[in-house]
Amino acid sequence: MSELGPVLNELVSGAPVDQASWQDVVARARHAKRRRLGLAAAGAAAVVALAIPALGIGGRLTDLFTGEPVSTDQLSSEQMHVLGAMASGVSPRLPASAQESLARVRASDLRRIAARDGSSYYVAHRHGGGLCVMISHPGDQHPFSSYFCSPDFPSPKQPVLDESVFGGSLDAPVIRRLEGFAADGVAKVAVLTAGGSEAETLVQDNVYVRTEGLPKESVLGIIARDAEGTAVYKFCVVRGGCGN
Amino acid sequence: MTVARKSSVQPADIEAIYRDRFPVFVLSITAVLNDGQEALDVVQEGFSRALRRRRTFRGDGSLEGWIWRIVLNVAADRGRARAKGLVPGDDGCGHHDPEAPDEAIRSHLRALPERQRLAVFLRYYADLSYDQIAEVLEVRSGTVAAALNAAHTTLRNDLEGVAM
Repeated sequence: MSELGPVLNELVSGAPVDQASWQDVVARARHAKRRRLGLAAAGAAAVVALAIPALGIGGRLTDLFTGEPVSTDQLSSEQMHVLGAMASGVSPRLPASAQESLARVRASDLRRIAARDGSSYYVAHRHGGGLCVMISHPGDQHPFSSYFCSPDFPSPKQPVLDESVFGGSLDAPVIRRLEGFAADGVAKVAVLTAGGSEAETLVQDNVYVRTEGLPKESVLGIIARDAEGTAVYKFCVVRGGCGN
Repeated sequence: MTVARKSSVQPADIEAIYRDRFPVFVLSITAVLNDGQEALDVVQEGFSRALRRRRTFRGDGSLEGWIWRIVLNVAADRGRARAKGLVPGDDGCGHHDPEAPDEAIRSHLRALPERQRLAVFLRYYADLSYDQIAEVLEVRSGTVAAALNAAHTTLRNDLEGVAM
């Protein structure tokens, strides 16, 4: 199977990484005009690797779209704007009238599918197929703590839409919060470490979340399993992949 | 009367970032523009703008994050100019076999939505943390996680589709 790492390397082969010239930066700043650099290309490229696991998936994956409808009265104007834009496939940075946002949100059939410890988890139809998911954490100053739309979620191709937060470096990532959305066929999600899977968390109402009892050491990624314990999805956050 | 706040950012601060991080800026922008020489020009221009505009840095985020945003904006301008035919771009002549597996993956990589593509490049070329990527792209860390996850899923499926 092809590897993505070599492709990423090849994508930047010849990048002139050894052609730094601070004098040129200063000169441009002084003259405030752009001039092209006629510098020879260099062959050095950073070694990067993104390993993608080859994981089969099967089992039952049914429609995730349940939960209680959310009245537009419960949303702030900012939330309406962001959600309406995302669900319609346009950038939230583009201006839209309140009326346009309202119409977009109504068309998206926004639903709250779960609530945990003050956080709310929403899904909405994405224009063109798939779903938009949003999380609202208590006390957050932003319209939504996170939001994302995917044309492939939920599906056998993408049974999990993970929104876990990782920190640390690329070589030694640590997990701060395990959180995301999962299709009906996914029963539990766990953190992958060098020692195996830890912090197994049940999927309830198509949502998984865990903030305590997470591994303190570096992690490899996350893994999702069905009710029989079969791995249905794996997401690696380290160079070189998660291994087998 | 409005009194302008004096910037605490000195040219040496920007120079330090330039000297330390130049290669990853060039790598990331090369991936974005698919043109190393164009990327070099963009990085030089971006840092020169940062130097000129350093007094506008408000200090509500990291200086490097602010510079990344400037450089990415220059790259976006260049990409738009190229699309309009104002700046010559990579014609790819004779370099790629469109039926080669890697070329197919490269095409899929380029076809990713902009936010996903930038998140992948910033993560893997610049080794930025989720929080740093979130700062650069002006989104939340959770959104970065979702963007990377979606990109991984898409590319994983593409890799499987071109398995040799």
